[in-house]
Amino acid sequence: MIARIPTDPGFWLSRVPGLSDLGERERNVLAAICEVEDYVPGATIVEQSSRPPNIPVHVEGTVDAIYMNDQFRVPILEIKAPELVGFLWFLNPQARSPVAFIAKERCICLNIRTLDLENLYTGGNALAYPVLATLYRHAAAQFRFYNDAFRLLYREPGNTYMQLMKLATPEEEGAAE
Amino acid sequence: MSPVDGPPIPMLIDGLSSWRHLLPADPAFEMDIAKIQSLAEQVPALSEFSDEALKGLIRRGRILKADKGTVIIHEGRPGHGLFVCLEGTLTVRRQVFDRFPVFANLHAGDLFGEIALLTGETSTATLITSTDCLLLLLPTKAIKKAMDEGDPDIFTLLRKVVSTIQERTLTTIARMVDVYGAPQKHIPLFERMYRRSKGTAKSSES
Repeated sequence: MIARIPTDPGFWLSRVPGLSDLGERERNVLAAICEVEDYVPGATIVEQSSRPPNIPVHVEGTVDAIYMNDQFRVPILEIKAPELVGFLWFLNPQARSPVAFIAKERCICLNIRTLDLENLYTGGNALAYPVLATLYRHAAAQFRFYNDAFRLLYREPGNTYMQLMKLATPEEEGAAE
Repeated sequence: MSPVDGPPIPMLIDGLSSWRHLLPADPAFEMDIAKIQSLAEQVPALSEFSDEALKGLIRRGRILKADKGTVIIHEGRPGHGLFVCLEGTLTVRRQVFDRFPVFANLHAGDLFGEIALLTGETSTATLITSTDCLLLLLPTKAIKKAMDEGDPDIFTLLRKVVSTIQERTLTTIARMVDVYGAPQKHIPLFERMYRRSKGTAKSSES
């Protein structure tokens, strides 16, 4: 269940480190194309295999990136706010999320309306450039985050081995959540 | 042994010291400008650029000719900017314990250096030329200036670059899914790696 909370997006934007670097005018432009969403624990922010219509900027709470198939429900990563959860799908309409993003605890997201952002950019609005520059930097930082997490699987093989053993024996306590 | 094939990357010379700069002093560049532009036109990320925009981009950058075996980017060191491979091939290597396996090969038309450029952090991989290469370097300072000025051409280029970054991010997530989604398949590998790392730790303690 998703509950809306009547909060000013500008307030939340100022709390996201990368976005707080924006000038007041640019932040207002971004705030005008955002909606604040409140997610209860267990709520799905982005569905697996989907392409979200908005870019969720995760501003409060913890999100689990979870892979699900017929046999498993595997938490791949835990992502703490603030983070741009769904910017991955903004520039590539073909790309789909390989995992679901689920609120682990109460989460607040600023959902940037993708179409409005696209219109700002294609319309040549000068204020769109600093906003895009900030989002681009976030996208690069996000790559590093996932890349580092992936490398950690191999750098700390003992941890990975223990996690895989737990997943392979789901009847044990603490197995796939 | 070719430095590209050999394992000890830290012993290779820093690419910066061996780059032969064709720009801006070398008059040969003037003769090659048509060739440079023709090669740049083949780069997918630059395909939407007009002739003028492409010339402007080349003017902002430096053309670098690197011999086979040159380290262009060092993992863990600050980046220099965004590189466009115009000719030749490069290998992408990353340190895993004491090894430097090849993670990917880059070819003419590929871009690299974008993560360090956009994050301002150190490079995530080591890039070495596996043939003689012709590269276009758009220095960090020039790109940041163009971004601050809201240069539409730079944003067109960055849009392509970030799109590629996103595809790579999705690939990385998919690789993690591959490991965790098939635990039985991967347990033997990580068990071996774990035992080996414990053995390494014991031998270094003794």
